[in-house]
Amino acid sequence: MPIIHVKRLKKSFKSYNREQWLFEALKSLFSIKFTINEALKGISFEVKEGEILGLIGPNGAGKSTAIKILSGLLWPDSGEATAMGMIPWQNRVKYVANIGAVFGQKTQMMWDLPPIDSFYMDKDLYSIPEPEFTQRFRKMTQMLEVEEVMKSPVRELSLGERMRCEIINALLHNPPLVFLDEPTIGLDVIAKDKLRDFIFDVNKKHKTTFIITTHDMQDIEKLCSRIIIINHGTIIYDGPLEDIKKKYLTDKHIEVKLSSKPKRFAFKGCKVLEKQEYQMKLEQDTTKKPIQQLINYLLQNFEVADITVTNPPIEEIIKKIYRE
Amino acid sequence: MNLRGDWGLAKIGIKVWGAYRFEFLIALLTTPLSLIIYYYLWKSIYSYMVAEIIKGFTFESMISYYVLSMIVGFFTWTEVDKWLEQDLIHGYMIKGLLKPVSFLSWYISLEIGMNIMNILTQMIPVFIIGFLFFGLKTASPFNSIAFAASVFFSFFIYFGLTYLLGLSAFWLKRISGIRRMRRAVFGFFAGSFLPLTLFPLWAQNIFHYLPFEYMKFVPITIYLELITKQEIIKALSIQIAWIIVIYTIIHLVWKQAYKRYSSVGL
Repeated sequence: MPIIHVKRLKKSFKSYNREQWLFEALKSLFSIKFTINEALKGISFEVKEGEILGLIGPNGAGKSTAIKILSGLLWPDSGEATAMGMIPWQNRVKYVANIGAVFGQKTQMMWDLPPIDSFYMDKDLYSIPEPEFTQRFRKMTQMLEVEEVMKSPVRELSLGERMRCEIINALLHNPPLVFLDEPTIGLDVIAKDKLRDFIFDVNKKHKTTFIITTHDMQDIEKLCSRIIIINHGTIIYDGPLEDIKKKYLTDKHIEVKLSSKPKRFAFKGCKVLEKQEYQMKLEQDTTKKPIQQLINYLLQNFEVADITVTNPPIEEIIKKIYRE
Repeated sequence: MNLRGDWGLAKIGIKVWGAYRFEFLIALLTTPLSLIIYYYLWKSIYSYMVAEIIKGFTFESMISYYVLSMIVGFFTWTEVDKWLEQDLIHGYMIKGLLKPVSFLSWYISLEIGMNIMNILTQMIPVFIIGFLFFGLKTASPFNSIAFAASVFFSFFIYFGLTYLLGLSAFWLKRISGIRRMRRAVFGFFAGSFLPLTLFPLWAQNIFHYLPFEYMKFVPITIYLELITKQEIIKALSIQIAWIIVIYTIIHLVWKQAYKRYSSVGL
């Protein structure tokens, strides 16, 4: 059952042009020039209950605007959106009681107080019953390993600790719908992993619907069953991640470390990107020959010390889709 | 209304107060200082004029006026316009917008929490200082209760007007000029610097139609028993009327501000 319906949603922003010259600054007292920047050009999509949807696209593509409209922060110019049967910006107070949201760059906890104070405030604001609150609070702080920082002011936390607290803050009232705007931004690998495991766990246990924006391909691969790619305010892809992978992730990058100097070689669909004394960077077009065959070939013909296969970054995929 | 939520916010206000306690306590130290200045200023004025009573004020009641002005000031003091401006500029408006309370409740409940602490740490000590060193007298039971009610209403008028000016940040972004003017205008017309009875009669008649004197001057006159019982009842009703008017305007302006929020791009 769809939990979110979005139809032809449009949103544009005015941005004021300011010139750098002093004279222009004086002139701007009387007339201000502005340009209209269309952030969303009429997007439509649906989200099913219990889904983890990845919203991806380059900077300024309109992802955050979409999330902000759906969490009741912004009014769209036109179009419709309902979530759980409510129009987010029309009945904001009632609506936000049923969602959780994290905006990576902006903290929602009280800056000068420890996270625990913000959590207790939420307990009152969302009327969370005592036993439920204590149980969830214990479990979440334990899983995300933030028990020790519960009593230090938010401003003294590291980014990783703060983001994990931020997630707890958004999930303590157990909302059925959660928006995460770049939740892993600036985190190290371990912190990212913890966060992903946690999100995945909540999704499985409570059937919580997540909508996540990210620039991190790993986030998407580990969490999202479906992705929407937005560019310049329009949806350019909407579907399962697997399809995108099959269609566009046909190139793989292979890094090979060798214990002897490499000789010249030729393999169908393989391009040498970089060649050093004991190291090579290759790109394999898997539609021509599968990656396993290349690896076998390499292992048979070279003294391989190490081999890693990676996907090209998400930006390249978007470029490819956009070119079509 | 979400009373449990509002109390939760007030508790956060108390904790925020705790985080900034030194800033508030410094106000407690500087207040008696300005009282001393007013004391000697008026002492020389009274001895120069060789007068017992100036415009209905004896020297003692004049000093009591300033003590009470400080006390009411501690109770009504708010910087919600600054919060609104800062939250808007730095993008922290989402904090309040994402919580299941009305936007006004978010700020007013936090402020009430902070003011609970102000009452305990500033208002009560200044009352005691007033009784001990500045000849402040206790008011009759009726006037005391009326004073408490009036100060309570004053808070809502002061907060409402400040909040309303703060909402202008949705259009103007930076409002530090407006804020400075607000403080000067409120202080002057509410009677923080001079009792309003010292102004010419025509000016006083204009003041009656403005909300400012109901933020400070009116509760003080109630405490000092300068107005009759009937006048007290009338003053309290006018305060309630102002509250209704101000919060209705807030409701209407907020609707526009919320829509406006989206068109500036944050």
